[in-house]
Amino acid sequence: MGLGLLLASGGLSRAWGQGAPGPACALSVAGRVLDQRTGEPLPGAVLRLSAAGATAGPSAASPLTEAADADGHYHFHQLCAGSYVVRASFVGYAEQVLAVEVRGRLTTLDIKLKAAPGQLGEVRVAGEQPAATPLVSQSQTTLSGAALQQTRGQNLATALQGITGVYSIQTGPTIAKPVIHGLYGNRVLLLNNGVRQEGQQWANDHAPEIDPFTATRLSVIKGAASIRYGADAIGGVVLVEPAALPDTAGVGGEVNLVGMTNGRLGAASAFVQQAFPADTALGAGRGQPRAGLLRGLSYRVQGTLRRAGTARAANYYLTNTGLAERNYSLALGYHRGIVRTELFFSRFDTQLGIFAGSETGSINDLLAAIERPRPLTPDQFTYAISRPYQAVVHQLFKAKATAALPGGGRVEATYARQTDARSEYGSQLPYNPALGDVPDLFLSLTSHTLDVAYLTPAAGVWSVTAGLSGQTQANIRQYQYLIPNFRNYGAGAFVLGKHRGERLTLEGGLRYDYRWLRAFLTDVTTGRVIQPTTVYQAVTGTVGGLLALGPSLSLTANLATAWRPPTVNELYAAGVHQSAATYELGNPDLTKEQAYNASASVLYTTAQLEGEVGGYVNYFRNYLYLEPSGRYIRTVRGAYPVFDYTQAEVIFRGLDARASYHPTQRLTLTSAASLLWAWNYSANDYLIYAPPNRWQNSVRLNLGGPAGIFRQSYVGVNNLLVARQNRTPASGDYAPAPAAYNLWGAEAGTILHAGPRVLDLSLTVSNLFNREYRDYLNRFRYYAADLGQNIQLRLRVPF
Amino acid sequence: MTAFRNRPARLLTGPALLLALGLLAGCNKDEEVVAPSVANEAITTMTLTVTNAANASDTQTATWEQLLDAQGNPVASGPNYSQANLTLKANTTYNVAVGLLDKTQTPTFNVGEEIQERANIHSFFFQPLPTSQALVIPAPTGADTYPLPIPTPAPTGNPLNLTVNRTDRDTNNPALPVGLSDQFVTGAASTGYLRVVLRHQPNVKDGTYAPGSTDFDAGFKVAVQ
Repeated sequence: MGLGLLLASGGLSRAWGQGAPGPACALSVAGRVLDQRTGEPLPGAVLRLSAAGATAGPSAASPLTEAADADGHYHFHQLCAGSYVVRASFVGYAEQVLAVEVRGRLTTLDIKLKAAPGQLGEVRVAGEQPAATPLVSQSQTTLSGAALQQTRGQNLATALQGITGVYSIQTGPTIAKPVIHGLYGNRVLLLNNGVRQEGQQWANDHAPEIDPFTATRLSVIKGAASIRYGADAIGGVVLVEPAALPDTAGVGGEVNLVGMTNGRLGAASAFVQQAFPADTALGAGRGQPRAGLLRGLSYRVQGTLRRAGTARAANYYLTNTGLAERNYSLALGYHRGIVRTELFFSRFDTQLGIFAGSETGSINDLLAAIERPRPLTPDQFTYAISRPYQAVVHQLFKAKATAALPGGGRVEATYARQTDARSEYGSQLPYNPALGDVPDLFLSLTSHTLDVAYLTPAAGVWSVTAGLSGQTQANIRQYQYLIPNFRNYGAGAFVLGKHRGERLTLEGGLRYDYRWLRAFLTDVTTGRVIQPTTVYQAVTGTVGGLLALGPSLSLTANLATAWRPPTVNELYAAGVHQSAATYELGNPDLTKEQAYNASASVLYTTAQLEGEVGGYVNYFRNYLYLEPSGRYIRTVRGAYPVFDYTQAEVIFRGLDARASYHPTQRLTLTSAASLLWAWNYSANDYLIYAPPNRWQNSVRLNLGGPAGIFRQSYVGVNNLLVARQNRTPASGDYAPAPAAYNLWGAEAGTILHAGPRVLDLSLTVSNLFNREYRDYLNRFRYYAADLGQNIQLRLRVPF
Repeated sequence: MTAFRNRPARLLTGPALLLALGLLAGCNKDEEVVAPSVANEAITTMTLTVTNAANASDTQTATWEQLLDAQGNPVASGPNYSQANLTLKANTTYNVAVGLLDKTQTPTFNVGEEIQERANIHSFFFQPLPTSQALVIPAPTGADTYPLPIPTPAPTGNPLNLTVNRTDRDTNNPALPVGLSDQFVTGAASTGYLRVVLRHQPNVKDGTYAPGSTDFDAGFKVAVQ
């Protein structure tokens, strides 16, 4: 820490040197004040801005003073160029003092305050790096604080579903995957605590193996982000980010409890964390003996239990849709001198029941199920999970070291090992009792990834990030054949540069990737093991810019290319996909998929109105997809339509728009629309499973005055309108797209203050009027309706 | 400050070693051993053993078989129905036993015995074709076909004069027919086909065909003379 302070002051003195007064004093500083741990806004936090050193402007004795609004936003306008100091303070939090250099029209400075139970002393923090947004010219939406709190207890994809441009593809109520701008599966990269999530992402009924309770921020980057994250980040990236480990002394933690009526779901999650700060003894830099070994150590222990029984559609139970989840994670940080080391381990263990009514012998059973107004399965509630179900255990071990370089840059190295064990249990026990209660399909995937990145100081006009990454994976299957065993090696190198001008920030990057894949499978004609090997490589690039057109208006535009190699299932699959009632056939001659992505958006932010309109075009060459072949294969259970993995020239075009209006301090009106149009040029037809157009509206009223027990209370109503998907392909689906639907919801919440304790309590009702509906992207819409009314109660107690 | 000068390299040695070890540990070759494809719920073969109720020595068997390839998919040559023929005497009662085998396992596994164990969630259905009565088993819809040798669409015309009664019962309450033991009653001379379907009906078995899913669907050529 001693060194950190030295570095920070070094930065300040350089800033003074450059502090020539700007031509016009019409610059602004704006941002949000947030709780460092939860990311929740801190309305009423006080900000004092004064000029640093020689810069003309408000003095430290008579600073400009602002208070953060209901969403934690603050603004300082009419500033001259130069160096300033911002002091942020709020009751119960440690004051933070930050240096800010004002150069462009709008300087954004988000301030994160640390809860300081019992101590209100001043804590100086030397530039903790915020979670780096790799590209400023791409649209990124983050759920944190109260918005994230409202999704607690739900799975990852459902939690993200409220974000404009984000949908989810479901396989019944237990399994959901995020869809960004119409793309999902291997086209959406999940970054769990900075590590590429490596599970069996290729199938629609494989949900992300991530516990959202580990995160205090869930972010979605919309658009191709291959440049930073490599192959697969075509549609976008989902970032699951835990809070930084604490670095102020003391033990803290949080307990979260969630109860839901639908499925009688109960979830409990808690964490405890502690730090032995390195900076308590400021002596290190002054030549005093270093304090004990524990100095600089911090840890967090976190665990989640989630259990639900049979979910219920509006008018009947969805038999066997329970779930049981047990997760935990351990994080250990050590900060000494310029090196910060972090070890992280997490285990995610879930058992997901699959709706019993989805079991079909063949297309015949499926068509009969579509004909029925409601499934024939028993209409009862139980917590028991029986066949068919999935059991998945995902473990992640991560070691990360960050070295802060003299001069402000840093080097990061991250190694991660992941194991993903997936067992899929079919509708009945093996006939042969000697086989035992074994799954029908078992897949074990072990992945090792190593990433090294160098980042120049973020404060300068120019900043550069460069990195290397390497990866190897082994997959082993047992029982059924669906995908083969394989080994893969990957390597990549990238460089990203950014130039911050007065009004215009420009960025660009280049990346090279190499992928080697060898499969091991039995040839059906010779009976011998064959080892087909494929190699793919690609160069991707991106250019983008952000133009500030004033304190409240900015424009962004981005062009990016992205790619992904064909996955093993696309190359070598051969077999019946039971829940989809299809026979899927891979093609070993497939080539890489190449995407060209263009996006642009306009962002307008004032105290009263916040709006963003963004358009995008995603053009693909060799888009990999399952094409109905028109052929049928007959097994002993009946006929299945054959789908071939093939490639096509396709385009996705869409528009996301969102506006949030505060006519008064208390009232917030929000409206968001997501439109999408997907077309397959090769087949001259629409693409299947394109998310239908969607329009969300909400009204929220903040109650209570500035003080009093209910000062942070709110009530709200919301409405979701999902249009019928009329743009569906002529073949490949068994039933027409379901009708449009309109769902109402309601919410209320408060933060109760009981002495030093805070209780965050909220009540949410989704599908308020218990409407029966089916969603186009729920692959079980053939068998049953979607979820009925769900009343959710959430309690959060930080300590 | 000087104290830290050469420390980055030293401090990173530990993590670097750990990484190298981790990567080496990842280099085993387990994926090169390909486990055989095992379908836990495979049925390859159905046998009907038909015995004249009035003459125990008048017995015959008919077999319908669909073998699987190394990836667990139906062999390209399709089902073997060359032995799936029954020649029955007119106006006669036969006792019938249905057998099911899984020949993908070594030794061949007798699935029929296991179905007997799980009789409460399984049910056989028999469909003589052509028929003048309502279908017990719905005709294939969409692109589905009858199991060979039954042509699709099924022949119409003079009905096959065969009535099938399932004689065994499960332990559900009320007890429901299973179909592993049956009685075939023939009428006047006629020809046609018999479709036999095993339905898996966990928690939903109610004596009707609709609930559940199909486990096995076979066809036999029948002559009553």
